[in-house]
Amino acid sequence: MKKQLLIFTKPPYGSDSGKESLDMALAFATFDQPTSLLFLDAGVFQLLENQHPKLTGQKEYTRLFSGLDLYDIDSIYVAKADLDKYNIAAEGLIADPEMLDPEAIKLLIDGHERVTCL
Amino acid sequence: MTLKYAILVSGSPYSSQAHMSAQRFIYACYQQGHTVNSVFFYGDGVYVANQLLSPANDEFQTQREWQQLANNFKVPLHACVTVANKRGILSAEDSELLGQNFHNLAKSFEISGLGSWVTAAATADRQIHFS
Repeated sequence: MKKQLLIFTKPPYGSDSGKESLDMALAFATFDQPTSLLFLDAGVFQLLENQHPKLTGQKEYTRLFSGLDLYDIDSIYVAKADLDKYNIAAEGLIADPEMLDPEAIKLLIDGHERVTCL
Repeated sequence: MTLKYAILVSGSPYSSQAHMSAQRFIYACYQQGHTVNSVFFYGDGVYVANQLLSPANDEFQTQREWQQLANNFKVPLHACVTVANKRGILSAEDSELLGQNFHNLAKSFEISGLGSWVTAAATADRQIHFS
C-alpha cells in the first residue's frame, strides 16, 4: 500500500483544483489506499465554514471535508503559519484538522510515498 | 533496476507544457528500460481526447503524438469520465447514455473512472504528475 498525500494550495471555488483533489482523495480512500490531506498557503481557505458558493453560481463541495472520516480519511493537516498569515481562527475550521509547523510539514511529506498537488 | 510509472496529466493540451513534457518523459522511460502502466488525464488534461482538435499544420500534434505513443508502447490512455463529460468529451456509450447525438472521443483514448487512476497508482513504483 502506498500512502497518498494530497496537498491543497489554492482557495476553493476560484478554480476546480480543490474539488478535483477531493474527488481523487475519495477515490483513493474508496479503494482502501491510506490517504491524507494537507492544506497549505491559500489552500487553508478550503476549510472555512459558512461559505456560500451558490451566490457565485458554484456547487458547494467544501462541506464534504467534514465527513471524511466516513471514508476512513482521518489524517487532515493544516499549516499553522498559513492560518496565521490569513488571520483565520483554528476554531472556525471544518474537518478538525491537525495544526502543523514547518518542521512537522516536512516530516509529513517525507512520510508519504506519494504526494500530489493539483 | 527498472521501474513502472503511472502518469497523471492535468494541464491543458495547448495552454500548458504538460502534455509535451509527459510525452518526452515517457519516451525517456522506455529508452532507459522503464515502463508506464497508464496515463490518466484529469482536469483540463482531458481536452486532448477530443477528436475534433484541429491545430494548424505547423503546430505540434499533441493528440496524434499520444496515439503513436499508446500504439508504440501499448500504454493505455484514460480520460476521467466526470471531468471529460463535463467538458464535452463523450464516448459513443456516454453519448447514448446522456441522450446526445454526437460523440467525439479520439481513437486510442478510453473514458474511465478515477478508480482506474487509483489502480494504476497503487500498482506502479512511481507516480508522476504533469500540470
